[in-house]
Amino acid sequence: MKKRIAPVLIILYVVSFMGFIVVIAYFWQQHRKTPEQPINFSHQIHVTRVGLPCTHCHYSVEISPAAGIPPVETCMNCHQAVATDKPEIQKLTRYWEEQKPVPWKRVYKLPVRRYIYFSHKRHVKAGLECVNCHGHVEIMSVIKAVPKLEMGWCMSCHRQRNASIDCATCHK
Amino acid sequence: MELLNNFFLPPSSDHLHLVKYLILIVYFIHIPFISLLLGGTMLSVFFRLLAYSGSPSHSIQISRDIVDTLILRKSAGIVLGVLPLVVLLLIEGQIFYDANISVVKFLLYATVLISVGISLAYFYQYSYQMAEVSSLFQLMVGMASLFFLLVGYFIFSVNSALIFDPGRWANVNRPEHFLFSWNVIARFLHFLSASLAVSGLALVFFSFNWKETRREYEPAYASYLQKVGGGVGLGFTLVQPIFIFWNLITLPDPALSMTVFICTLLALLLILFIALRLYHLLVEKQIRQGTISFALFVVVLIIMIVTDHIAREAAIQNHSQLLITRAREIEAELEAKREIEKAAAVQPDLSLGEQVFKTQCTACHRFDQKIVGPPYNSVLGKYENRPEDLIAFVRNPSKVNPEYPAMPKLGLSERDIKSVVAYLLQEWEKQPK
Repeated sequence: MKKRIAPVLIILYVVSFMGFIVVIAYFWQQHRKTPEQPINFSHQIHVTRVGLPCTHCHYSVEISPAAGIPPVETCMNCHQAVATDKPEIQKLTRYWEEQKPVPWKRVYKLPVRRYIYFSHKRHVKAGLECVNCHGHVEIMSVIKAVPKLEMGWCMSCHRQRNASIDCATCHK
Repeated sequence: MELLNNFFLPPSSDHLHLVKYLILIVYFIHIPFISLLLGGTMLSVFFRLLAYSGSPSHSIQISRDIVDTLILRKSAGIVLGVLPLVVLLLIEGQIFYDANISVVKFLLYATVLISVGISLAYFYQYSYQMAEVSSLFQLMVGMASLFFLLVGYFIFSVNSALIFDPGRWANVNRPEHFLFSWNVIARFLHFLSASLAVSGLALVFFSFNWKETRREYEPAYASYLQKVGGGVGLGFTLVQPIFIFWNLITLPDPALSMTVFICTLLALLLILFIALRLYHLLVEKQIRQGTISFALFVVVLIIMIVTDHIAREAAIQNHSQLLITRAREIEAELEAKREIEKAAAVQPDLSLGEQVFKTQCTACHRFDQKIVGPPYNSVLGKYENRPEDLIAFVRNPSKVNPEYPAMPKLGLSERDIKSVVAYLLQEWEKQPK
């Protein structure tokens, strides 16, 4: 009888680890940081191929805390005429005709306003480039959150650039 | 590392695709060999230490048998041990030539330390053939070898963990801050335990199962050898799930994918089989289980190397894409320069100009009405008698009037541009003023 117990324990032990991994995979799938967007928009095409600067669409980044997602109107400035035969642009046109905003999914999530004060304007004024925090968006066909937006990540950059590391700077 | 970076040219796009597979081959060659060398040296030194302190009678014999069985010949040490690391150094130098923090520096230190460690391991092996050697000296050599190998592979783990986390490259200005992250420790312990497990299994396989290396032992020693090999194999196989799990949860998010999870589950399933086989080997003395256990563990090693590779490729995907884009830009720039030189002699072709106008320009422009861009009649006037300026604008458009969106680069050839400009200016002349 005693002989039988060890193999059972081994099976239980390894299978429980397999269970953990399945659970983690499930949660990872549910909360992955690269959500599917309503329109298959490519930053790569707009920045690298067309040559638009970031501020062309995210025009409030230099003047406001939020960089802003452009309204459908900004897209339609060009897309009333450009690439109208593409299915994704036809999707966009439908939103435009129905006068509805595109329900983009947020990629960068910070508990702003609840715990953290963050301003894009201030960071742009300090001379940071978009790439410093958002990675090389110009080569992303699907946008991804590149750095983990964790406090340690903010702190190391603040230290490196001699920016304030006072708690009240961000936690107002 | 500025100095080192100067030696590396930005790799071309084809080159980058090739390099991906080269890394995988290097790992396939290096990891199994070094696992046996490191695990073998650890086990042998452990038993040498037992013998030195005067315990079990078989200790000295087993410590000799372990180095004889597990550490391959010296030439293998160079080909399978040192050479792959040098190749990896060159590859990483190319891929990460512009990473703010010198990822490559860690690998350089690791390569030096590991090379010293491998040499000392061979000296330790050789010391068993020397006629007169003091036990203390032999032990010191073994321990020194282990010291260099362990420190070397710890730094190697730091290098691997850093590669997986491009988000941190820009902000880690003092590399020593990166030394003790959870992922580094997980990687290091995982590597150590896997090399011990594979060494234990290899000891059983090469001593009892494989015809070429099988020897006749006296029964008491044979049973001891089986117990040691099988026991070490089973013990360290059973800790694998802990480190596999630990490594998985400390991987940065971009490295994860469903493939990584599935491969990890597959590795765990095989580990379960191996553990059960080893249990039969140890308890029911079924020595034939040695072959299947060893073979399966080699498969587990391969799965783990491939999983790591998939995760790494995903983690540095953006970085590689950036390098490819840059390489293409450089190629395109050279091409454009050559074209401009060639095009100096080319005469504009009005029918080609008309064709370009109809396929490219009319999406946004008309002569007399505003669509996306301004009507030609309001802007072409300033280019009268200055076609060069219009050519330059079409080649490299910039935003002029803030009321209109910026005009994109159209990717036209010099001949197209010259022709379309000639066509436009000719048509503009015809417009009613």
